[in-house]
Amino acid sequence: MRKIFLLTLLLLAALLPAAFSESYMTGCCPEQVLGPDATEMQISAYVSSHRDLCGDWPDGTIPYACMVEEEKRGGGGGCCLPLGSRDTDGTRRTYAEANRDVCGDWPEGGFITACPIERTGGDSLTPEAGAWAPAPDWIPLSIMAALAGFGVLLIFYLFTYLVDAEQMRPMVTSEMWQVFVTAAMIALFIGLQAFSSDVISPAFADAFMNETNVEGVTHVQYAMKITDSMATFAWETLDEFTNNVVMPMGNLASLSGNCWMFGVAFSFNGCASISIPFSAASFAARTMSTAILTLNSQLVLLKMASNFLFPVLLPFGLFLRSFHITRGTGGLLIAFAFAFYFVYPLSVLITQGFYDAVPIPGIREPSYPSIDQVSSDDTWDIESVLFSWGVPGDCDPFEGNYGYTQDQINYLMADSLMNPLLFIFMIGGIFNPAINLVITLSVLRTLTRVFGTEVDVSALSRIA
Amino acid sequence: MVCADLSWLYSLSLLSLGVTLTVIGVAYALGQLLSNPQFNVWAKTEIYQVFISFFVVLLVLFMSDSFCHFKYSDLTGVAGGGATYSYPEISGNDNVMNASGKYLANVANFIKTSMRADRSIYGIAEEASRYSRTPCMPAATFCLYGTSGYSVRTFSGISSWIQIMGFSLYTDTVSYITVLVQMALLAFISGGGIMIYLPMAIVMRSLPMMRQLGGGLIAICIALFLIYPGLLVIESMFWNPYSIMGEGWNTLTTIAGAIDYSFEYVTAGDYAANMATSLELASLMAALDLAAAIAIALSTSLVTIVLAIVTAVGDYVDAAELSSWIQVSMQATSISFLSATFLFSLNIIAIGASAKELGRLLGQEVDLSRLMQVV
Repeated sequence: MRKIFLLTLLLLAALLPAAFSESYMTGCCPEQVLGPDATEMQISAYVSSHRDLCGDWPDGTIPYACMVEEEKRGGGGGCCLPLGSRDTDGTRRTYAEANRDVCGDWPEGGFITACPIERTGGDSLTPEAGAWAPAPDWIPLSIMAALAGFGVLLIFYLFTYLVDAEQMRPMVTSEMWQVFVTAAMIALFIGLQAFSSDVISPAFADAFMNETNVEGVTHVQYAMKITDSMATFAWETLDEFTNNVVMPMGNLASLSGNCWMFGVAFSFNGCASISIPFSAASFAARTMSTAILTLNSQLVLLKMASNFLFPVLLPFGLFLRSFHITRGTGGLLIAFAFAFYFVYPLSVLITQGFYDAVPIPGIREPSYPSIDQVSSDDTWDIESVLFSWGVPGDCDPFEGNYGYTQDQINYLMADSLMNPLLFIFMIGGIFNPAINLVITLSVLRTLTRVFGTEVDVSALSRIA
Repeated sequence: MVCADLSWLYSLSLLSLGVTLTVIGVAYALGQLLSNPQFNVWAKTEIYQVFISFFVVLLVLFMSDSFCHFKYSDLTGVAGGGATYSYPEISGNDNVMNASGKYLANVANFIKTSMRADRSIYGIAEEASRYSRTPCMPAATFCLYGTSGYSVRTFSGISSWIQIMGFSLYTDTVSYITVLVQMALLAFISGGGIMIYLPMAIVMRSLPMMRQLGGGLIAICIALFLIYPGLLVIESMFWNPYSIMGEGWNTLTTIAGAIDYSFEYVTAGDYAANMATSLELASLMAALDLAAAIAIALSTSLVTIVLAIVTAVGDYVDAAELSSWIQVSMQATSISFLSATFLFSLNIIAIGASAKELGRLLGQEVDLSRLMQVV
């Protein structure tokens, strides 16, 4: 009796955080996520995150993106088009650009929302906010897993009567208690999930990012959102760096002068020394791409935690944990689910908060030099070079002036360019994701001990 | 993936049971004959252990057989999920082994598409970075002094994209090889070869000094034959790299098929057109010289023909589109890496944990950490 009383208390305590939550589910026409300048890639990522919140689109529906006015949020009208109907040849086109012909100009204060709507076409309709909100899958799965574990043990228990194996009965009974522990864990996870959605995410958003409109969004979705923003920002920065620095430097470094007269010719690579800063710039671009890959991986890992590790591996782990011989494996899977669903996103939020809080002006805004390269446009400006021997760029290979190279090095090493790039990519793109993973793996190792057996996760550290 | 016929293993296990019982019986008889109580005690203990071994082996064989008979639709019916795959399709009638193998084939196809996309971009960028222009100077001389002027590779800077794609390609290659290794491992396991250890384990667990080894063998068999395919089939039901990629998958397949695309500016383009205009201008100036006028008119025609040929071949991408392709490709690389390497590591760690726990229960703690380090 005492054990039952204690377990009931444990269950109640685990559910306590849920009591502080208003709700942990929201409707399936989520509030503003993207603005009118959203690219196709961002919309694609948004739809994916929408699916995380709402599950798969129901049968017979088409995912629509609606341009909705600010005051109509939460059920008002808007201009909605099927997401799959846009041109896919230019992913840099914005949603607004692609659909303006149908929907007209973007409304004042408008935003994009995505809803599953039972229509097969059309140009204007009213989305039904919150019409479809399925429960998260992991809860019934976990309950089913615990019941299955209990059922198997029950069969064993009856089997001990069948073969008259009295000595096995206490062992089976003891294992049955483990099912109750598993049930307590399920309750704890339900509570934690609700707590994270309604308390932790808003608290972190308010404390670190000065955002207040994140209620109803779980901490994982919030972490995905800021990681996606960071990855997009990093990509745009790399794009600008490539277009404004790497490409012009490569262009100038390749310049050479040729002279041919009556069968005698020579060629002079008078700008070749620019290849020194150009190589450095190329290496920097490659490092930046590594940072972007890392951020993309962080985003995929968060999706994996949200779509697979927590809702799938957790119930499976709970099931395996019910039996003595698979308790270690079950504990490992539970630890993975817990560490990557709770610890990892929280670590992402915290490190991003520290990143955003650095009080150095201009540290996130690199300023790019204006390098005059030889035109890449094939329209030859014939008038300017009609009678000229001059080369239309920042370096003239005929002059042999090595000051050209020094200029390019100065451009590249300028504090206004280098410091922001180092901060954005080395801190925000490499250091922070690495720290997040190290923290998670450290906790994971401890958790495996708590939930079952200590497992060496150093293989994952190597991947990190 | 074909499930091996394991019925012979049942017979072999029975044979092992019989041989072991015979050995134990002989030992017991010897104990009685020699009045040696140590033999008798050993025989009585081992009788109990040999039946435990036999029962465990039968259970493993039964469960592994079940994996070849459970239908994918049954599993998804119970647990939900059931992601849709097309490369190849996982049907509801596939058993666990088949579904696991097809899931890996789908992941491999995803990564291969990503690699092909990397290769396409790599090729286009390589071509663009080498595109060279050599305008003669001054233009008013119409190149009558030969090729005097300057030479520039206007898109030489794109070589940085080549480096980026090289890194992506390297990462994708590692991921691809990892998936191929998993497929090979699964094929080896489903072939049933490793199960030969099970009948051996029945004998070994009852021999002096060999109980730990026998227990360890059973643990390894369970971990590899049951846990590994089990985890893979669960991944197949709930983790789908294609849906994670979302609409970007269509773009990725477009990029992967763009192996014959060219960079937009790697053409005669307007440059040739302007040259043709220049030559026409020159023909007016050379009106007094009939031979020169004919030569210039021929050159004009030649440039026009070259222009038509060059611009008619293949499809083109511009710098902005190529840049957006790189972004999509890098996202695919991240998904590939995590689907192949991270999940595989997770599977291997889970296998290691299972083997350790089972081995401890059966007599010998199995340390697969070396294997994990190799992986």
